[in-house]
Amino acid sequence: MSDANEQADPRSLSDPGQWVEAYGDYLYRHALFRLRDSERAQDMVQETLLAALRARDRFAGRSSERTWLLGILKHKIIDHLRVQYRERPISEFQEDEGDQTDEELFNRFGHGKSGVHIGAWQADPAKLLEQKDFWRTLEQCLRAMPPRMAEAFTLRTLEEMNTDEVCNILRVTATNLNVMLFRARNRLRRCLEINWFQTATQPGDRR
Amino acid sequence: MKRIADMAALSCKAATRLASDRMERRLTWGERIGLGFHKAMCLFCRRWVAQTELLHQAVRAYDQAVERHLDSDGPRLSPEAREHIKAALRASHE
Repeated sequence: MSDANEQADPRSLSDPGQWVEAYGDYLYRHALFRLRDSERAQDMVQETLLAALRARDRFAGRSSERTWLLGILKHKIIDHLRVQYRERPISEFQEDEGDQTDEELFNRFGHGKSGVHIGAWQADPAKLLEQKDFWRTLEQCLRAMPPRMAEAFTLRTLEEMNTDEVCNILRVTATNLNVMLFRARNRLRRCLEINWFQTATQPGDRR
Repeated sequence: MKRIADMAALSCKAATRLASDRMERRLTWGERIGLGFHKAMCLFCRRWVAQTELLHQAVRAYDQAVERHLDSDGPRLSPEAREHIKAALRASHE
């Protein structure tokens, strides 16, 4: 797709007039996974391509055009998150404030309140990651989380930023962050269990 | 006789919290022992950890997955958004 547009000289960029056709959907998908809001994702694509246009003299050809654009997109998204959370009042986190999925967690040794036990997932990771519907489900599970929680999770896991950086962007303390990540992990695991792996078992099942 | 289980003071809630924190910071020696002991005896928490790690692996693989799935169904820019962005680029190019 993009190969048709790339010039013979790797240090020069393709025609910006073709960028939307060549890279629009690609960038949009990446933005959508990270922001889970189609309008904002579209804005990010536009900002990215405009920034790339302004910075095109600085493209040194060290990476592919696509990789370069993705890098700009990621920076734009992080800047956007920084601004968003700078302006938003920070909610008070209580350490003992229960998250809805905390209630589904167990007491000792698997005897949960709701009686739901964790079933085994039959999953071949290689095959799993090839399935479009798995990614769709994952995206929906992220969408179901409170935004800051989902952001905490994707910044740590997908962008692999360190704790300090994430705290800085989201304007939370390290303790808050750890609570959010724990809740995010619980929600995500539970959401995928129900909507994909479908192995939430009932009490009495022996596994 | 005191059950060995009773000596593992951690609830599953506390154990999974430690398992999560371990991804963020170094656990104390006591925390590590407590978690290890609990996991050794609790199938559900072992699964929680394995499943959480699988999801982490998946999310980290997202960028590469987009490369592979670009041509198939998936979210696309709307035609309006496409035109809007093209127009913005043209305006900026002049």
